[in-house]
Amino acid sequence: MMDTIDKTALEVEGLTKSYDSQPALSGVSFDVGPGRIVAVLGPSGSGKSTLLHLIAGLEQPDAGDIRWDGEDLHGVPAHERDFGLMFQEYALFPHLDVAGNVGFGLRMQGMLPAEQDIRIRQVLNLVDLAGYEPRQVDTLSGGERQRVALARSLAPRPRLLMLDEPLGALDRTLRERLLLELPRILNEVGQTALYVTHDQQEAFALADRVVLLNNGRVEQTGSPLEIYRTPHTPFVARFLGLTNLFPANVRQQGDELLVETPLGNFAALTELRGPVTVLLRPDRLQLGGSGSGQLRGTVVSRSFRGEMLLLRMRIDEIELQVALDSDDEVPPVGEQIRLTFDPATALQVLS
Amino acid sequence: MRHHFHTSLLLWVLPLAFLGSFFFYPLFRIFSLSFTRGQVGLLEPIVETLRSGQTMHVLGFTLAQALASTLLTLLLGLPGAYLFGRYEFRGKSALRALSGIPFVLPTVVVAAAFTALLGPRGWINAALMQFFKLGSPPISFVNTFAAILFAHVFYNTTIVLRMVGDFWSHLDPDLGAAARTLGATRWRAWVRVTLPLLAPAILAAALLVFIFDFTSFGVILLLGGPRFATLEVEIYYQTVSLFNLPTAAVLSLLQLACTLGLTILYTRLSNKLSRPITLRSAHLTQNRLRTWKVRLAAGLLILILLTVLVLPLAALGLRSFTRYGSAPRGEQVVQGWTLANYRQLAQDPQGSIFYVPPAFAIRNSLVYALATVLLSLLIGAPAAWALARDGHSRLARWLDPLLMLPLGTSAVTLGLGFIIALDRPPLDLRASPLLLPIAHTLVAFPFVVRSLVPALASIKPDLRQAAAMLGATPRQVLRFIDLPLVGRALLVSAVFAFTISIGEFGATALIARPEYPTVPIAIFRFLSRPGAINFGQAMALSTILMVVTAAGMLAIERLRLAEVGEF
Repeated sequence: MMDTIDKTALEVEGLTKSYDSQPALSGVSFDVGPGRIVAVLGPSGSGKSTLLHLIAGLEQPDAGDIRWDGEDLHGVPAHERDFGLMFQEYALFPHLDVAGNVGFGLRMQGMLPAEQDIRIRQVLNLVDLAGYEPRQVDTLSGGERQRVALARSLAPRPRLLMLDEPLGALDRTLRERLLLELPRILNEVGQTALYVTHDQQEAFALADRVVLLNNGRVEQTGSPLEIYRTPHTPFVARFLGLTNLFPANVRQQGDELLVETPLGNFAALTELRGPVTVLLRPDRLQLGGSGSGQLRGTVVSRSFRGEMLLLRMRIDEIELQVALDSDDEVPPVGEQIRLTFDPATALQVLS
Repeated sequence: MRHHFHTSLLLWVLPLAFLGSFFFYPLFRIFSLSFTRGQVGLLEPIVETLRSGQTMHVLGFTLAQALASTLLTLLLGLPGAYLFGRYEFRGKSALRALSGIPFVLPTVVVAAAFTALLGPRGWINAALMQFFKLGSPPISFVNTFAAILFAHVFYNTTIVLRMVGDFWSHLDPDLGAAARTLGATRWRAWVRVTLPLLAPAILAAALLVFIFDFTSFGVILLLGGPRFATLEVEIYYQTVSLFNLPTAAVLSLLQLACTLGLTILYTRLSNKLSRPITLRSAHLTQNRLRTWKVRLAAGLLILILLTVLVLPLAALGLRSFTRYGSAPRGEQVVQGWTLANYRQLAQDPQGSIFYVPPAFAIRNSLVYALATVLLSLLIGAPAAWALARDGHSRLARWLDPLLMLPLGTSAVTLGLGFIIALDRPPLDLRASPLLLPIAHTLVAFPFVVRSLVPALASIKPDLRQAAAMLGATPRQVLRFIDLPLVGRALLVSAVFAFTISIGEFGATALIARPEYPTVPIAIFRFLSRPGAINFGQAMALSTILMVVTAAGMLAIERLRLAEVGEF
């Protein structure tokens, strides 16, 4: 097992690109292992699309390297990289039918028409569009177009498949369904894939690893669980919807390390010193309980979210987000409550 | 950027030189002829012409017939638009396609079709004569005011059906429902909510219909006869019959001012139309014809639409295959089916030296149409390319409406401009065989540009990138992506130019040389002469022209790529 994990297919190192002296990417590095799905996650304008275009070879980087199996791809044009790209707006060819679109890459490879037909049928089956070959693309629904675009990029068996916000233009129900189907399809063919999105739910659901991009720089890399459990920066925490962030100060007091926060002083485990930001994890707060951290405040609002209950409570001028199990006794709005937490796990010191 | 700008400028050279020489220069000559005729004052001749009773009478008639025609068109079109906009029924798309055919037909074909149905030798008169054993046709339809109105309704109903119907089909029915939940009665909900939302579409359609009726030429000339003259027809008479070019020029100016005013009004209105109100996808707003009452009403309406829009065309087609002759007691009767009308197209039955056989007219029309195709693509493609490349640049925003100007100018005015301006060096083209293709290109050019621009603009960089990602080399991208897409757009434009040229009548009537008639001119001659053979040949030629133009327009609808992602 170990060696397959250690092997890298795609290596990106120090990638830098500017447009009109506006930096779009600065020193971006990460790898993708063979057969792995890596999600590039970030808000719009963070450089995701630029990154894809550089890896695809549609644009040239100002600095940095892109390697495949150790081979430098510098100067290799897009059509010789053997990478697939599924476009955000799908970019289906309007003058070709579904078969013509899906078979385009095969035709470029010079595959025999009879073999093309077999492969087209195969990938259309894979995306649940069996029998769609003669349809014109303008007669397809949004979800069907999306799947044709996926089939088209899968058909030539690219070494790497890149997907640019592939679910962006779809309605919610369709997204949910494709979110389940997509990893099945990709895993079925063992496809190495790079998935670009601004939606953390999508990235976490699909990817083995996540590269979080902010303002053209890599903010954090890790498995979805790692990133969710230990966000490294306030940006990452906020991006994940964790909003209990406070300015704090880390100070040595005797042989103990103390964080001073607006909510009080707590013992902490960190290498950082001086001014920091702390995150109080909403899922590590308990009603009542016996943790050493203690908070008292008033319930401002509550909302039921299925398996959990989201509470907002106010302590002086500060509003806190609290996630409770839905089988907990729920205090009504306006009630004074007491929360406890274990500082070692609930309080995270961020840079 | 600088380099880019220069390329754009280069692309504009040919289109602008063409428009300058053959549109703006002739217009300028019309202007100067109007102003410099009198020795007394600059404006005197204009004032004189405008104040004459004849001009006022012509202008009054032009407005009156346009207004009456527009109201009648709305009367038929609005119920039809409601049916098309709100209901889904079998055969809807076929009915929609069928209703569009009249709009694209050359005026001579329409005149011939009405003659075939209601003329002295038409089906209805023939049937009545046969049934009641009459010696002369009981209905006189040709050369009446009613004929003009009927033909205009026939022509323009599809504008109302499509413009209002399409808008209606995207109008959220929940808006009306919302008004009713707020306490409005069904009628008040309609008057207070639906009608105001629909009003801009109705007004825009009505105005467009009015513009077409106002500038109507062939219909009035062929179906109205000498008693009726619109501005357009008067310009023709002044030019061709009386050779009074200065008066024709002043009338042209008047016509130009009117159409310009109307067009500006229309542009304002249609801009209003595109205001962002919540539009729904059409399939969400359509009902089925559920109750028998609704079905009956819809059936009746469809029957009326078919009668008005399709019957004349069917009458024309059938009439061209009938033998028609005198029965023993002198009445004209249908005597059976024949191909004689078509066979006679190649013969010269009169044996007169002035006679030009129809086959020769067909050949002329084909040659002119092909020349028009080449010329309009040569002129239109660079302009379309420049517009597609940088349609938002300041240059393009200025030039774009300029290209559309010939569209707002009547064909007769274009013809008159040619007669006045192109008769002396450096542009002495009176005898040139290129004169007609140039005139037709002016008419076709805006259509060519309008169908090329969106196609060229649709070749977005991501299509090329997608092809490259699928392994296409730059050469393959050109061959499999760019060329097929551009090729298709070029083909659509070519068919447009061909169809327009082959049916053009207004400008052709003024400038075609008598010894080189086109098909519409030949039909016009046959229709204006007595005799069964002439009539039969007019029917046969018109049927051919009808089939060619309808086929051309159907080809355009099929070849056009539907916009991917609309609603």
